[in-house]
Amino acid sequence: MRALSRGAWQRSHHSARRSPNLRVPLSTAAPHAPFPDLAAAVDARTCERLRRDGYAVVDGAFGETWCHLLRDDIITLAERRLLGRNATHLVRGGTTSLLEKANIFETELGAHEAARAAAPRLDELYRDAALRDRLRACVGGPLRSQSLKVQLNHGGGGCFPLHFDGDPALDDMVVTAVLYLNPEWRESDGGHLQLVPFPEAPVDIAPKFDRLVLFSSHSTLHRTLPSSQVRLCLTLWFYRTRPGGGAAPADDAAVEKRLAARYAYRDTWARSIAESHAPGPALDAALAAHAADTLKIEKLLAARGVDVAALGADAP
Amino acid sequence: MPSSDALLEPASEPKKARKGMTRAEKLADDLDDLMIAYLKASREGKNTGGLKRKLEAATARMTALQDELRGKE
Repeated sequence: MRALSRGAWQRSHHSARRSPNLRVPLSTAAPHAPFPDLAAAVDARTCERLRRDGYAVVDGAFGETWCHLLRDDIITLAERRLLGRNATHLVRGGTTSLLEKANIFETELGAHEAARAAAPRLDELYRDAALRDRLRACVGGPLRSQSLKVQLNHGGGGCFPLHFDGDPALDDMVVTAVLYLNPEWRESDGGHLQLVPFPEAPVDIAPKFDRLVLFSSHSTLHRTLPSSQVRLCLTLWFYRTRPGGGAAPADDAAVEKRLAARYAYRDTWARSIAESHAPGPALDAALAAHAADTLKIEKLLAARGVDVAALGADAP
Repeated sequence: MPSSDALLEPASEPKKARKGMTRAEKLADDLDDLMIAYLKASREGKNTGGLKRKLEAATARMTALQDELRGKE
């Protein structure tokens, strides 16, 4: 059961808007900009949406100045070559292959001391507990830690396949928060976050500058659609205890819902895997693993009395 | 998505020596340099139009090269 729900994946305000022609690095222009009031940004309606719908969108949570500072920090990390290519270790049949995503570069701040030293605003956000404390009041129960990853998508179709964040059998992640840092983003650039609040229909969310998207980590299927342009974002994950700190409380209904979502979206899932990685043996292995997992999930759901035929392909 | 190995190991991609690189590696290296130049210009508020066009051209060359290599497999 654990292996199935995990699939085959062993993964492992100040208005300082800068005119296009008159900009100076904010790292020098606003070195002491006050940290944004993130607790105030998540209001009661946002909390209600997060609880009711499983996701919520907050525009303007950080303010332009801080978004530019965070963006500048990510650029510094790229400049110093402190971002690594996103890759997944795919373990199948006792062999491991490395599945690299095309055009996606990132780093996890908590595990990367040099990155924290080079990116002081990101480090400040990583260490700040205001948003976590606010979300704790939102979702109930403890939220004792967070992790932060920054991501640079080079464009050229860079994207992520469908997935859930974390795994209830292995971690107690509760909420995912993604902040988009793309001041010149246009609709034609793509790169939307697609949330699938199964069984509801998918929702595409534009990666607009200073847009914060919150969603339930374990229960929200999601992906990043292909981006034709450079795209920057950062992600915070909030945990009951700590990253990798242990399984979430058992919730059989939630497990079944994850399996049903994965089965219903099996075709889109396969296409998204193919879109996100360069062709080659590792991709072939990933697609084969997905197909095998889909069959196992079908049997599991049928054994639980779920009408798998009714789930169809890519429901609803 | 905390599925990346970046969670497990600090990510770092130091610039490699070009000597001995394959065509694809050299092109990827050029793309990295262009990307960094583009991002720096963007951060400094400079006009990024020219760099953006170069990036798109380099990306297209990389796609063509990958297609060519795939055809040989």
